[in-house]
This record gives sequence, structure tokens and C-alpha cells, in this order.
Amino acid sequence: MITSSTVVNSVVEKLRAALARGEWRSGEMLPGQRELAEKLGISRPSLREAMIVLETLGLVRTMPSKGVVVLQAHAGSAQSQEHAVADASLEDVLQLRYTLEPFIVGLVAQSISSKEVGQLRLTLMDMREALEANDSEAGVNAYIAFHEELFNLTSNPIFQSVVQQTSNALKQSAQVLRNSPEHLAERLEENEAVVRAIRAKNSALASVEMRRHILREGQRMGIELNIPDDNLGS
Amino acid sequence: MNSFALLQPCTSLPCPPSQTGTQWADDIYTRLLDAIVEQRLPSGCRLTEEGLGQMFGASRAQVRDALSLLSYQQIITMHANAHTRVAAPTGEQIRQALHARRLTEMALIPMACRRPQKNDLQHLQQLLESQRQSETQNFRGAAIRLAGAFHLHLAQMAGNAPLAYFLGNLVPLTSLAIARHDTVLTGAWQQQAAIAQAVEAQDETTAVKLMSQYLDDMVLRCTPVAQIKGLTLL
Repeated sequence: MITSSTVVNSVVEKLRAALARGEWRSGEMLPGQRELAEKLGISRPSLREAMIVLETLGLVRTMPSKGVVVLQAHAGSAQSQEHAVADASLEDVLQLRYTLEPFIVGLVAQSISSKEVGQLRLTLMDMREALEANDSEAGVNAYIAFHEELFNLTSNPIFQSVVQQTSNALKQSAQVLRNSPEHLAERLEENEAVVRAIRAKNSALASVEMRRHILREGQRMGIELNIPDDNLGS
Repeated sequence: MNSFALLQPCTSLPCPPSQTGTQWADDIYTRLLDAIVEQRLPSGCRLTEEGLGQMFGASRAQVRDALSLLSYQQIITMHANAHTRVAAPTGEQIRQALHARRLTEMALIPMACRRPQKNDLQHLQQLLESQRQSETQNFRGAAIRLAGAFHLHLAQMAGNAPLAYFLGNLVPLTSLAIARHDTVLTGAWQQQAAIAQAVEAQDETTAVKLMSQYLDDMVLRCTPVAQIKGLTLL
């Protein structure tokens, strides 16, 4: 069950990540509430609550009748994540994904709403369109968007650090992904299997499908993963 | 219960992995976390930037950085229009953190066995010795935190920065749960000493087995006594 405070937490993390990415610099004004809420896909009341948290954290300051000004573009947790991922190899990230994403996807399957399933399926459709148009750039973007959309659904803010790390790493390795357009069809097929399991609210199957996807991803990149015997997460 | 009077600076304790970037914030972070784990700042206790700044002799900005990290780690709660308080983590939050810890640590331990360096092994021994001393002198909070530090150092030895970083954000929450619910200190360091020995011998199988046992025991140590009794009745 997603409570309003977890929605706010996830918005806070999204905004923090955007600030850390340098989307807005210190001293700049954030876009207006309506635009920002649309951009993040959340309601304006949730956005307002998130802003109060960011203000408490000292990242932004609300200027009456002017808008919200960014004080500190680089916030604690997001900044150190960038640092942790900067040293990470593709293999490290794939290992991180293999270790945690099956578990996270299992949690998502337990709590997802039908509206959220719909949003996930939209990103899959983008992937399919890219495949049909033979547009590898759009294909990679849709793959990353699917990943972000999926893991932003987790209600536990700690897991969102995994999302940010892996999205950043995926973006860094976008070139590698673009150079292998023949893999897009397989990627799509594997991700569709994940979404089918989520839609059926079958946590165990969703985990299995995600594990399979990441193993295949490793094979496609020529990376052998360390697979612990202990698979209590399945 | 006002425990502020009992608050003493914790010197002689090693720092957690650097996560906020500045030495000062780390220091305040460590001392705040200690105070919370040792329940000198009990669950529900209201925290203000001014009060903490005075107590720790730090600026509000330094306190804010530490609070931001603690909030991210679910040790304190910061909500819009509400006071910042020491968190009372729910059973579900702790269950998820324990599960994620198991997945992460079972992936990391074989990697740590592959490349143990002499200075790393020495550091593990130092952490165990400090933990043993803390336990003998009945410094519960320090002993619990040092037990966590042992796992974090093992994670660093494994050489996967993003996984180690993720674990770093899970350990405080489980430390807090252990502090709240583990009524008898079970001598974690003895089990950990055996793990360190297996790592030194590069004996993956034994290390994995011992780690799994340790994490199983930790589930019990994080569970309220009443629930454990309920479990044995089943």
C-alpha cells in the first residue's frame, strides 16, 4: 500500500536526484508548480509537501510570490551516490542489479495499482515502437525509462538509491547498449515477462523473470556474474 | 523521558564509511547515530537543529547534513509540518531491511573471500577487539555499531562499491532494531571472528555458511521478544 508519505518521499528523492544531476543550479528558480508536478507525474499537493521537506533539508527556499529558489544543488545522499557509482564498473552494477532488483520487483508486485501497471506498459510500448522503427537511440531511452518507472514504484526510499545508481550507470553505458540494436527485441521480451508477472501480482514469478533478464543482460555484455547459492529472495 | 543529560561525546570510536562528504558532518552523524542506537535519544524524541547544534557544538548546516542522511536511512523521520523525530521503524520496514541485507551480504561474502588483503584482515581483527571490549564494559550501543562496522568493512573488501554503499544505508536501521529488541547481547563478535577466519583462509563455503547463520540469528535479534515467544508456540 502506497501511503501519501511514501509518495512524498519518492518525490523528494526524484527532486534530489534532479538537483544532484545539475538539472537546476544553485540560485536558479524551479519551474512553476503545475509544470513541475506534470514533469514528475504527481499531484500538486504531493509536490507542495515534498517542497516543504526539501526546504527543511535546506535544499530550496520558497520566496513568497516569486517561486522556489534552489539553494544547494548537491544534496547529501544523492551526491555520495554519484560518487559510489563513479568508481563502479559495468560488472559491479550488473551484480548490484542481480542482487537487489529481483527482490525489489517482488515488492512492487505486491503493492502496484492498476494505474501504475498501465504506466509501465506505456514505457514497454515506447520500447516496441523504437524496435519497429529500428531506432536504437529511442530504444535505449525507453529501456532506461522503463527501469526508472518500475523502481520508482517501490515504497521504500532506501531501495531508490539502487534505482538512481543503476539508472546513472545505464545512462553511462548507453553507448554499449546502442551499439547492439539486435538485443532490443530480447530486452523487450524479457521486460514484458516481468510486467506480466507484476500484473498478475505474482511476486515470486516477477523476481524469477527479473533475475533471468539480468542474467541474460550479463551474457549479452559478456559479463559473468557471481551468483550466490543463497536465493531466499526467490 | 529526557535523556539529554546522559549524552556524552563518544570519542575513541571509528567512523562509519564517509557518506556526507565533510569530516564534521560525519562526526556529528556518528555521534547522533550512537546516541539514537544507545537510546539516549529515544524513539519519538523530538530533534531540532538548534538543540542538536548546541549539544554537539556544531553549526546548523552540519547538523542538517547529518539529519538528512539519518532521515534517508530511516533512523529519523522528517515530515512536512511536523517535528523531526527519532523514528520508530515498523516491523515491515525492518523485515525489508533484513531481507535486503541478506541478499546483499550473501552476494558480497564470496567476493570478500577472493581478495583478502593483510591490512583489511587486521582491520577486521581491530573491529572485533573493540567490539569485545565494548561488550565487556557493557557499552551496548558501541558494541552493536562496531558489529555493523565489521560487516561494512567486509563489504568494502568485496570491492563492489555500489553494493557496499547500499549496505551502508541498511546497517543503521538493523542496528537500531537490535538495540531495541535484543535483550541479551549474544556475543556477535564470536560468530564474526569465525567469519573473519574463514575469509582469511579464503574458504568461501564456510564463510557463506557462517554468514547465513549470523543473518538468521540477526532476524531473531531484531524481533520483539513477545513475537519470538509467539513463534515458538506455533
